[in-house]
Amino acid sequence: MKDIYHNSFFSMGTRFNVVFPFCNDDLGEHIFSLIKNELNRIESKYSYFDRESFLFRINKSAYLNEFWLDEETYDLLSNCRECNSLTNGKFDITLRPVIESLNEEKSENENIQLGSNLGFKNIIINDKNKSIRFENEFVKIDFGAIGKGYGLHKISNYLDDYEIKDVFISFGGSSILTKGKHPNGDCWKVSIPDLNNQLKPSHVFNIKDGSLSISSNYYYGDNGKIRFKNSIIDPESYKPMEEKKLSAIYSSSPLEAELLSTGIMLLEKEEIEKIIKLKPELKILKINDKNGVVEKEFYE
Amino acid sequence: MNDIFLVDRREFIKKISMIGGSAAALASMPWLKVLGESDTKSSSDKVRLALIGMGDRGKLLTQHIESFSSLINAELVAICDDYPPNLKAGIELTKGNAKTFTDYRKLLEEKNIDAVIIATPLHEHAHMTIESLNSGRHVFCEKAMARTMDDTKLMYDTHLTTGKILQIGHQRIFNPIYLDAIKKIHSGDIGQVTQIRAYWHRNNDWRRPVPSPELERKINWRHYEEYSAGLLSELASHQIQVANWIMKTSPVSVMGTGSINFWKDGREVDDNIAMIFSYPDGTQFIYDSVTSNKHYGCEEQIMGNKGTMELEINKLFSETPPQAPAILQLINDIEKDVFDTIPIGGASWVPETAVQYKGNYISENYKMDEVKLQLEAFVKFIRKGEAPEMLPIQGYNSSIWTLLSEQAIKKGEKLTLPDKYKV
Repeated sequence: MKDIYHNSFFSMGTRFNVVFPFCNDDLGEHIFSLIKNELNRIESKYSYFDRESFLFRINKSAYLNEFWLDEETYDLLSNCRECNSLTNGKFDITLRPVIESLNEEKSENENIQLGSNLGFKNIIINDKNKSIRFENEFVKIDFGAIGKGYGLHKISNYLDDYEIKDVFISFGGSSILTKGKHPNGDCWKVSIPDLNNQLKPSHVFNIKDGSLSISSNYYYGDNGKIRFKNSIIDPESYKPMEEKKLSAIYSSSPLEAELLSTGIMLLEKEEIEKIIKLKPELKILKINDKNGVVEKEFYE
Repeated sequence: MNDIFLVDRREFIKKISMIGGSAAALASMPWLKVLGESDTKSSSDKVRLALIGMGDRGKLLTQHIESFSSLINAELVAICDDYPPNLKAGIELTKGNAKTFTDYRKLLEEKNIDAVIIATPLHEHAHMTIESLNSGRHVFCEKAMARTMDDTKLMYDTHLTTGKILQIGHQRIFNPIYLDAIKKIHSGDIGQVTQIRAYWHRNNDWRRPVPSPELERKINWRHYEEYSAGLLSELASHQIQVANWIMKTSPVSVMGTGSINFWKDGREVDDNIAMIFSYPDGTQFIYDSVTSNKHYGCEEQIMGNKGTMELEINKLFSETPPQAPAILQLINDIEKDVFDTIPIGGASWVPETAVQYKGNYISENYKMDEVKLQLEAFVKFIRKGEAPEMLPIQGYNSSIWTLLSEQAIKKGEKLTLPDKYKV
């Protein structure tokens, strides 16, 4: 039997899996426990729902008073701000109230009215004293779209500290962190399924020391039937997207891949090309299903 | 539970006869085999039953027998209760077909009775069972066995000396979920069992309405030490039986405590208890019962190094949740020196949505009533003239450790079972 350490646990509402080839159980267990602690810490600190979380305190207080951020949260928000600008506002961490409103089946007008009060523009970050303030009482921050990527970004350091050279980590099947290569190849080959046939690969990413983040506005339930998600909102119409869309972003940074993957789904071709010019190391796959016709775009 | 398929009795019987046929299952549940044996319809084989005690439990047993007596080729020929309203209810349930008695000794004088079912208050079990066995009848007695340890032992010894069947009403022994669970636990599905926790929590005074004050002790007998050990004999005994069954042995010691801290209504038995039973291999069984909070309900949690089973809700929680198919394929590829793509996203792929690990079901959701199954087994044992000895031993060890727990609570000591009570 080869030394392959693999383990999993449930974190951030999904399944976290690690595979460390060439790693014995003792070392694997030790690193896994460090990873687990770190992910639990992040989840507790940035949970949107937990009344004890740091994020909950921000959401509760930042409209009434200027809220002083710690270094970690300031850096995370700065990354979000940068990505919001890069995607022309399509990536937005303030739209959770619209999702809640949709779940409560409120009218379209109510959603539009609520949405007009939201948007990153209504978050004022003071870079000098690292504080935050919300422009109105409706604004709330939700890190749900980037939590897994941020978690992978943080735990990547542990793997380097312990010189784990070859790693494959899947966080919920949609956020992938790799290091090194597959023991029998020169990279990790990850396939993205076809929009209409889960068994047929649509694209294969060859990843080496890199990350992949996949976003979609649909998922397949255990019964194999497709279901649309309310969680990805168009920040202009404040509606969930109605056509099947999937984006996959390859980046050396799991956080960057995660930050971009949601917004990319909503961007036009010219906007994506502009991002690729600014960040040439990225590889971007975007698949749309327009009235049954699948359109696949790949940028690198 | 929608995707769990239901099976009827015929399929269930077919399945358990297969379970009961395996060597491992035969050792831990030998009573199953009889359920797989074919039914007889011959009138000469009809088993004639009598039921003593027409309270709530007796009524339930009567309803069951009446509902499937033709199926199991049995007949309830006599009923007995010394409380007129209960006897009246029994007459209605049996449509007047069963002969009625107010004195069980008179009932035992009847010639046409093969077996007696006893569903009276606890303090009456011993003498009724012993006299029934001595009269040549097989006995099904509701749990727990008796009010004292000596009486419990005497009941068991009488069963041995008369050679008559003694079955104690621990229905979990016949519950399809428990049968599957025990088989899986004994096969190592949750690894080594290292701790058992069980509880039974209710939020009520456990009191029945009393038509006149002089009937208080007769009707609310569970509240008085003379008649009952309270939560221990009426609830805990079920779960002690399950723990012993899982551990394939009895505890070596018990310690515990209890008090009346909420229902200060004149009752004599504790309204809350907590105990720890230790087994020979060092496994602890932690038990508690309360009557002033029902949030946690009733459960037996069996914890092993590979998983946990919660038997009342039919759930298995693995210590290592199942891997995603893509990860399993990757591990497989690495082990076999294959370099292939890792297919991210499959039919069950749910990216960015909340997926909680809710465990797996231990067993299919059989629509089978364990009380009916234990009555059916009892009738079949009578017809064969014998029953697996493990069955009364399960009942005996549960009852004897229930009563030892009562002593441990009263004395505030950690107690071991005196040799004279070991079987």
